Amino acid sequence: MVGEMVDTSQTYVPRDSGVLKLWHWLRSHPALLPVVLSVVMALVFALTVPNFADLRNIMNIFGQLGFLGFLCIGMTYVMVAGGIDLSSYTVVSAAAVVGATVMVATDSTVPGCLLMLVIGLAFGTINGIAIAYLRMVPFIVTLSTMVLAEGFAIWFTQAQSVYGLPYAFIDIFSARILPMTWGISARPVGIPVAGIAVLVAALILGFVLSRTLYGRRVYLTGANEETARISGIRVRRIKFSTYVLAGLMAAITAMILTADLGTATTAMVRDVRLMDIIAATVIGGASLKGGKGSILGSMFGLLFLTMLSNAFNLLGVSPFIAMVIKGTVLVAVIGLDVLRAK
Amino acid sequence: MTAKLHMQGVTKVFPGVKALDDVSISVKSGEVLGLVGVNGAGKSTLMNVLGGIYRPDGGHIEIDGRRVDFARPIDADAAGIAFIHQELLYFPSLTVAENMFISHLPTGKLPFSVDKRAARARAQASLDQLGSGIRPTARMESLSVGEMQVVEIARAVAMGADIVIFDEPSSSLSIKEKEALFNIVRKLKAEGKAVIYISHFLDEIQELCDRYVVLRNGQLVGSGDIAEVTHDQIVEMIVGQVVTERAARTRRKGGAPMLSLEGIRREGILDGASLELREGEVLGLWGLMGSGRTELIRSVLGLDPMDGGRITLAIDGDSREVSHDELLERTAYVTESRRTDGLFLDEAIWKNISSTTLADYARGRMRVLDKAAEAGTARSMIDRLKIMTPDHHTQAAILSGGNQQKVVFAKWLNRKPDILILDEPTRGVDVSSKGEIGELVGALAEAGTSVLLVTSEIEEMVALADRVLVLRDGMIAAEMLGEDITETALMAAALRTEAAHA
Repeated sequence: MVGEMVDTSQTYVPRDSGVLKLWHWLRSHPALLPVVLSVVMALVFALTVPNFADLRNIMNIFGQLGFLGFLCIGMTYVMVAGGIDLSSYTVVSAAAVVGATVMVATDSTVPGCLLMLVIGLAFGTINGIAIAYLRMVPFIVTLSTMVLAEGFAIWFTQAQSVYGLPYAFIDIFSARILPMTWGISARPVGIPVAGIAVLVAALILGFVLSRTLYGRRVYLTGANEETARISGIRVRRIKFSTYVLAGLMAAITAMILTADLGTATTAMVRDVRLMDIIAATVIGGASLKGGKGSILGSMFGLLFLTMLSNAFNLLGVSPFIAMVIKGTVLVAVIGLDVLRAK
Repeated sequence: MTAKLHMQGVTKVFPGVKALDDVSISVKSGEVLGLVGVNGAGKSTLMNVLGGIYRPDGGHIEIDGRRVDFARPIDADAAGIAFIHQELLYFPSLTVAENMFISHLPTGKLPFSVDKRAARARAQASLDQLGSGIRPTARMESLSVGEMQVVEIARAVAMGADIVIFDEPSSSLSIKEKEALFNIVRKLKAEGKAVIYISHFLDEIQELCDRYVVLRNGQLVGSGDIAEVTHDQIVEMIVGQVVTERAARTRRKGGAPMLSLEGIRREGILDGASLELREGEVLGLWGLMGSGRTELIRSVLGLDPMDGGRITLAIDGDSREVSHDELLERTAYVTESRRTDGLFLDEAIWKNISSTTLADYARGRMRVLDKAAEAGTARSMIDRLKIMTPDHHTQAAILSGGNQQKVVFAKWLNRKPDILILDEPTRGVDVSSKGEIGELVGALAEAGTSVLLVTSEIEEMVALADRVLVLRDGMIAAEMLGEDITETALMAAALRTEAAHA
């Protein structure tokens, strides 16, 4: 069969059919699917769901992107390089509880934040060394560090929440800027800093991944590690770097979430959220086999899922129904990915 | 005597391409038919029609004079047609017997149980019939490629196939294994099977086949008794133009030492191999599969472990010991399996070509890649190497074998390497691309590139190498120079190795 494909392709005849052209274009621009999905979903919800298009709600959604957005960026890098990181959401808790405890004890922001960064990077480094240099299987390694981070967080806090954070910290990370009014809304609505932060990070890291030397090396490593290695790309270093980046993203998420909730707990990011992170990335065009995906796609994949949850919430539909629908969408998207590969 | 198998006026049209145009072939029982043509000539399409994978748009198939219609591969199976594929499909962790009967395991007394003893006995019987010493209880993964192929043939025999099709069966076999394969083909013929043998190697066709069929651009351009045609006549039919006689050439002497390897060792595989590669020469590494040819290269480049030895490289005229990474960065390495570690199959041609020199396209402090420059390089390489493709955005995966290999060459030439290592550079490549690749290698050596060539194709070695080192049991056993590099001498060197093993 494969030999046959090779055979017939030698006579190159331009394919003129419009449908085929569209299909090929879609194939080469996989980030388009989540963009279209999001726009359609936004229009449908705006027309059908009361209060969905309200500025307050829009800013609410925008702010929520800040919670999972960084983790999605990290996951995208890891998956493009051909790996997976299941540990990021428990690393958030581990970093948050330790950092928060120090903040409460010292009543200052900086040492706690630094500690969160150190813990996030430490977990990323452990994952990276085990996977890139010791050649262990990403799924197993990160499953182990996921349990490790969770166990550590519970042990450290004795399963208690950490309260009494410095106001300065909460004010920086959960702030809203540029208050404005919209329509009949009485109180002014501000733009959440968390949303802006993730937008900036997505723009920068999206540019790095899609346009720079490092980004291309990440893609090629995921596309075919052996070929990349022989072509002179230091694949171990590249793979290692993506896990460290994922750890950094987890640390930033820890800061934002801790500030937003005003507390650090062992279950700040629930396990169903792991599914959201992976789903957003896959809807965004990433493949579990590596070499595919984009930050733009992942961000719109996340926007799509966030709007879905938000609309169901507004409608008062059970969140479990939302989970059923998300699961269905994910399977459909993966199915589409298989079709697209043909 | 009527033909065992007759394909009458088969036509197959793909969108925009007439892959087969009114092709008729027939094979008698006890006859071997050689099917030749470049990649894309229609051989695989014809065989896929025969195998029930494609339905023909015109024409039909007759077996024993009766018209048959294959809607699915299983229909061809039932009609007694068996395919021995170039790339073998098997379950590595199962035994030989289990692999042979995977779809027809003899059932035991209990429901869903398998009668392993019966499977073993039947497997043993067909292996014996082929004169093979493979044990039915051996794990598939413990066999060599040649042995796996024997298992596949035994499977066909056990299934009662009387039409056996070999699709480039010898391309990944060592010389010794090839001989064993030829014996099996002769045995099948003696037993009255109808055999179709597809190969790029005309020597094999001439040695094994009774009749030949040549396809070009989906049309039958020649057929007849193999005894009545010469090697050059077949080549002419395949290529469609008169090929110039191979000019007797002088072998290059080579200049200053470029790369020297001293006492390279790897536990159980390499036993102190040393060699010196000079500037502007093509140095051939000759030896059986398993003699350590590929292993030597991979160890030296740091892709496999190396337990001892020194690597010295001339960098800007200065010789010094280098690390694996330093060597890898200065070497172009065309690997033996382009699909696994030569190409990014899912990526566009331009991304493949720039992959070896990415840093050259990085601009500014952000190291942003200059895609226009990358595309420019790709387009000029496509022109220079005559890569047949609609454009540089085309996925590497959909190119033919020969054009894929040209992309691999393009990505390495882009690095303007001092050292070019070629491992089976024309495997699975059609005749005309093969010629172009040969010319390219010669031109590169002429321009001062040091080329290290590994190939199992004796003609290629004679045609390209300036100097040949014979590798045996992980050591350099002999050196051949100039006029001494002949097919006979190379064959003798390889056979000596065989004798040493026996």
